[in-house]
Amino acid sequence: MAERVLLLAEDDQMLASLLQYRLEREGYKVIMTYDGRAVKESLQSALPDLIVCDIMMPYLSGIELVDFVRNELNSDIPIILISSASNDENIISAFEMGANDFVAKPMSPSELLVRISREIKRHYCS
Amino acid sequence: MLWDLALLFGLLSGFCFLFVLYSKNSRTKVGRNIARKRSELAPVISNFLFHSPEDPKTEQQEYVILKINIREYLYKRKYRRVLSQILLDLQKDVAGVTRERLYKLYLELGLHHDALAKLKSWRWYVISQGIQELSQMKVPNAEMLIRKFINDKRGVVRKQAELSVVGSKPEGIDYFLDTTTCSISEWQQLKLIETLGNIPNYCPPRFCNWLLSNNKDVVLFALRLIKHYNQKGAEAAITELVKHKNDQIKVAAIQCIIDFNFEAALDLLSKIYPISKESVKIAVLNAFMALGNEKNISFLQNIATTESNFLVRTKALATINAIRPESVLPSSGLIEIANVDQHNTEVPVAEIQEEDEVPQREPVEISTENDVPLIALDVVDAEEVQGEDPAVAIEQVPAVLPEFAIDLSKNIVELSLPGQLDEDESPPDLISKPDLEVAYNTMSEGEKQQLIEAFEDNTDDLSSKEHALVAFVAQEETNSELGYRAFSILRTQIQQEATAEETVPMDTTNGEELPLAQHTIFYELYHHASDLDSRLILLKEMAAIGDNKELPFLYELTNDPHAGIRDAVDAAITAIKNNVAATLISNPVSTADEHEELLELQELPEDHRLPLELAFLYEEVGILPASEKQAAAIFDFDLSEAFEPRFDIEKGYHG
Repeated sequence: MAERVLLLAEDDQMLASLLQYRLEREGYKVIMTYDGRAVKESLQSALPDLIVCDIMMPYLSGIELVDFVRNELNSDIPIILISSASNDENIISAFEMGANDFVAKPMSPSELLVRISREIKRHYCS
Repeated sequence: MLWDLALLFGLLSGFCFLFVLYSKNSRTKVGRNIARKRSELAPVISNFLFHSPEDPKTEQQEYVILKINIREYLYKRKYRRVLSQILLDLQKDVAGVTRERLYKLYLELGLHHDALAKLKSWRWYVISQGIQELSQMKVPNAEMLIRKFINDKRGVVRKQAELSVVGSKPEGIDYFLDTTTCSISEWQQLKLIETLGNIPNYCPPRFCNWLLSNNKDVVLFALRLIKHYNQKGAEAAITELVKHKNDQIKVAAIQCIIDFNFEAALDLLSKIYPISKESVKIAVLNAFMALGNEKNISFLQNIATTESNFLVRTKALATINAIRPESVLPSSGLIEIANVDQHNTEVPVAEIQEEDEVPQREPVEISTENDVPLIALDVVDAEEVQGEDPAVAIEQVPAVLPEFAIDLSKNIVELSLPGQLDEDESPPDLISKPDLEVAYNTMSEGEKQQLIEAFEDNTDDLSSKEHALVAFVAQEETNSELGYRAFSILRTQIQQEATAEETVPMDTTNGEELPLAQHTIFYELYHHASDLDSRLILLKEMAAIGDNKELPFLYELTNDPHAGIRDAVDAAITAIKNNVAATLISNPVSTADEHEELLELQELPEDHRLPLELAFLYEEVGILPASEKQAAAIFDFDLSEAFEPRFDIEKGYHG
């Protein structure tokens, strides 16, 4: 199986680094971005296999990013959102926009891995 | 000089600018260094966190090298601080096994020693940081060191210690409630409950054990915890707390009683009610509202009638309505249905509805806002009355209380006259004066007395028919007491009318001017005075305060058959004339007519008159006044001090 490319958009560098280390150990290729603009630029150059994105980010929120991917890029790549702001409105609007999954902080990196692999299987292996 | 100053200030501003620039740069540099260190340490920490003994050999080697490197980092204090900060930040975002590994790493790196050292600091914020760090990183045995801060006089340290002790292990709350002697704010109570909720598989103790605490905040917090964890087994202890001296505890206990439906506590609540303050009384009434039944109605009615506090009284009424819905109806701001014209098609809908509802109302025995006892008014339907003999209608009035007898008689009359007819017009022969008299004659002795009492209470509000009835009673009543009382009513009414006339403008007399003798207020009073003594007193009063208006009336009285009256009249006329003369002199006359009048009143001989021109001349020349004795000899009264300029008329006139 080819190496899956994940786009990880997280403004907290420590957490991003931790997740990157964990994901890379599991065999994924991780593209790191720390704000919304960088995510947009990265997506316009090449689409990853899956996006893991924090909802609260500078310049572009996770929900806006979902909207951008679904409506402007017309892509159906799986998107998993991460946020500590786990209020209902955020979650519901994220799912309405087309997000595939949601993980609330504090999160277990192992749990995130399971969700990523499930989404990839669902999207690419079905 | 100016140039020197300009140079000086220029140099100073330059130094200031450089200082700000330097400090900003140094801060930025420190921030950049920290960020660099964080980025250096991030992979190291990740490696440590996710290392496994089953990893390949290369990774094991890498792990050993990182361990050596990190030991070197730990020698430097600033690196330790950065490491601690990284781990503290990360533990907020990660959960599960990763978080457990993070705690372990924190201990392995020995970072907790720094946190423990912070507890020895004299600065409150450093101690607070230390407590927070130790509790967040779950450092074992740190709780023993933190406990001593539970009763710290510094609020922030104390609160941090409380949260730390309570959150560290399930028994923490027990220790905290046992030992705290300080107050626990509402916010802190909520934070503590939240902290308890974060303890996995937490099994709360029986919090009723702390209801005996001497610390009132502990008791309040225990009550809150009892409610939060729904510990219903503490009924007796909670019920006893309503006897507590502290009102806050009383209210909290009553709230618990309401929440847990402890109906047996109502008896005790009714006992403590009289000795409680407003807030407790309202809480007690809330309890009755939630748990009360029909048996408690009399207690609540008693409160509603006797309680002086408006809020409590209103709450009592609301409670009665909660137990027995619709038993207390609105009583203020309502339109009097008795006055609504039955034939007026523009009667508001609300009023019609009110009328429709009236027969269904139950008697309300509760006081209104102003403590006026409200008694159900059985509103008489106009249509019913119209078709009946008025005498019968009066007889049908059931057990009328004295204060409402008048209302009933009014209702009968008013409702019998549709269209609010003018009383001066001849009304339809529904109820005529003779009919009222017949009705009166058919009344029993008790009813007659009630009616007269009602009239006595409403003397100033009698209609013409009622007035006629009273006159009838005064004339024809065989019972002398009733007759006298009716007569007294008439007399009081006439006196009130006389008093009212004083304030009525003249044009209300339809343009007819009264005779001169009646211009005085004493005219009516004199004629209403029934005995000689009263009349003599009135004449003395006229002498004392009367003026020109009284004179025509007094002249009329000079022919009075009684000698005593005549003497008093003469004395009054003389006194009034003297008073008027004194007034005119003290307020110098402005016209020749008035001057003439003054002289006439004084009955001075013509040659004693002082020509006006001469008087002014004396005034201009400044001739000093004669002695007051001389003046008194002329005018027969005392010259007032205000009479200036003074002049001696007689002396001046005769040179």
